[in-house]
Amino acid sequence: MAKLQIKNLSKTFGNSKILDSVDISVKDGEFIILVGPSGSGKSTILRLISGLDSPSSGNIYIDEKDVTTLLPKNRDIAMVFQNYALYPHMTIYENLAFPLKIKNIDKTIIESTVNEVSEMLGIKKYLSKKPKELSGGERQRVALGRAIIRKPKIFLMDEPLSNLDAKLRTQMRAELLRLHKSLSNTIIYVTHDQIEALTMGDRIVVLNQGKIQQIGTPQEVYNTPNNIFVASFIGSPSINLLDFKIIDLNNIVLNGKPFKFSTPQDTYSGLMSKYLINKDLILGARPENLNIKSTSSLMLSGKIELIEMLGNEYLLYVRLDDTFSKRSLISVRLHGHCSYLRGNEITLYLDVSSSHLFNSMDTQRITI
Amino acid sequence: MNFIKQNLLKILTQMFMILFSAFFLVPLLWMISTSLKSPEQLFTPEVQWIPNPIVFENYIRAIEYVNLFNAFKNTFFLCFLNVLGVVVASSLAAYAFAVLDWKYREYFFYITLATMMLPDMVTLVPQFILFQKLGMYGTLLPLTLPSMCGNAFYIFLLRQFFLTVPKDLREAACLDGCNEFDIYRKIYLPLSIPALSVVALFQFLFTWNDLLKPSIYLIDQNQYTLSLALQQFKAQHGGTEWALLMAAATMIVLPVIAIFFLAQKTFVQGISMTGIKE
Repeated sequence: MAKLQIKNLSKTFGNSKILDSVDISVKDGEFIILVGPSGSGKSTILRLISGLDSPSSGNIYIDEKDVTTLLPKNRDIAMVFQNYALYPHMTIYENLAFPLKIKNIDKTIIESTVNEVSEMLGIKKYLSKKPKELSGGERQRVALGRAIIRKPKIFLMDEPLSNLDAKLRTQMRAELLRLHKSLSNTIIYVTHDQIEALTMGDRIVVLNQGKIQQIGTPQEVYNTPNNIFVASFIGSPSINLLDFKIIDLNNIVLNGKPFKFSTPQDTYSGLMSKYLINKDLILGARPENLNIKSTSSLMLSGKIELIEMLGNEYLLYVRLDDTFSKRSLISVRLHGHCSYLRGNEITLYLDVSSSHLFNSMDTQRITI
Repeated sequence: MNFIKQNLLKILTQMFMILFSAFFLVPLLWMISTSLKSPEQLFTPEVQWIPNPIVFENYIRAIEYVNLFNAFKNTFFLCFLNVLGVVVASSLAAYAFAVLDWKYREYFFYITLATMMLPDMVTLVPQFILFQKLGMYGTLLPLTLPSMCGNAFYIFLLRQFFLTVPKDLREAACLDGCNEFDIYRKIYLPLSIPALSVVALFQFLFTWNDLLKPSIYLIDQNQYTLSLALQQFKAQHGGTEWALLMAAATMIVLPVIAIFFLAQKTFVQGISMTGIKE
């Protein structure tokens, strides 16, 4: 268990900036998720924390101690690699015992620790096997075991579940959480999978192009995204973005189509005071914020292009009519039985009060 | 008929290979045949493959004539030092070229490769003068020291092999607490056994068969290697004792064949890298 602090961390390779002044502060025992598309710098952060790479500038502190220039082996950090990185010439027992052997720990202690850890992870029956004889999930467990066995201060996990199939991934996700609960270690977990991010982390760090876009709990990141990138990266299917303009208290333009409100809503009087009149804005509405029942006067109509059945709910992809905007395909999440067919005309009602507003110039959130 | 049609290519290949191996086998069999002949049977007008009578004594006489046991001992000793030296030195250099990150690494690698272009004969005389000035002429040192500094070809071979070892393994070992030498010894070496065996076998064969360098640097007959001992059959007895020479040659070839058969599996065996999912 340890606190981790990253201050002003930057990394450049040649002329390209991989990381740009990153600041993260991780509490003792916290499960932090670094999430972002490929090339966003999340794995680079992990490599810098582990010491496998050194930063161009900035500092890393573990428990208030500056470790920026320490060798990886002196940082007391364990890492689980995406492709497991088990030593192919060693048995599972030797793989698990390796970090302890290097430290010249007594043989009997090694044996009991390996037994304890392999029992905890359910891999005791594989101890005499070689990695190639194990399945992906089993190998992943061994890789976890090799990290746990040293009782390190911090765990780093680099997309550890991405090589597993969907069912196994869900199972391992639960297991990792259980493990975190029982060991209460500090974990830094890298993923590009936003479902993993939302379900596992105490807090999420959303990265794009080497910059932090937002740090917050899964709820915060989902409900109050800082900018268009976070809004569209978190959530599946992605948030619907529509061109939006306020003409006056009663009139707005949505995706090029004028709307008139009979009763001005409170949210809009708030918007007026922000001097947003006639500015180009973007309205973000999650698929669940669209409804087929009449809840507001923002009525959109279009044609169903695709229906995705998800068991007790379904997704409709609707192409809006009368629009010249490039943002004309929107997704809607509905519950219950689906009575629509592809090609059907449909009318949708947009719940504005639960939607998000962004400045179309700097893509930042506008707080009402 | 159908079987032949389907496997025509296979059959032709096999036939070609059998023919080709026979081509190499004939001299070897002739050597063994000659080693078992009496002097009268050596030069006969007709080809006699199986001697009559078979003279096994040739082998005992051959051993006694030139102290073959001593030559065996010397050669094995030289082979041991050379193989060990070249494997350790070349693998260390290869590790530095393949894994470690240092300035001018590529340049030094090319310079190392460039030494492969130099024919041995070019360096022979300067090397001889060097060893003589160092007072090593007549000792085993000129026959062992060079290989303990590695060999460009083996360094190249091992470097290419090390490059195929996934980087993640090194990084995992780094985090597990290994220093660079631990990683080399505990991860890279065990994973490279097939390549290391090739290097060891090549060096063994080279040292075992080398005639030139022992004949230049060795003076004392007690230090003679097998290839030098074979030469003695010619020199010592005026006319050549063909049967004894062939008996000695057969004995010298046997360990090489045995080692090749033993090590064959290791060469063919690929590296199993399945701990890493590609």
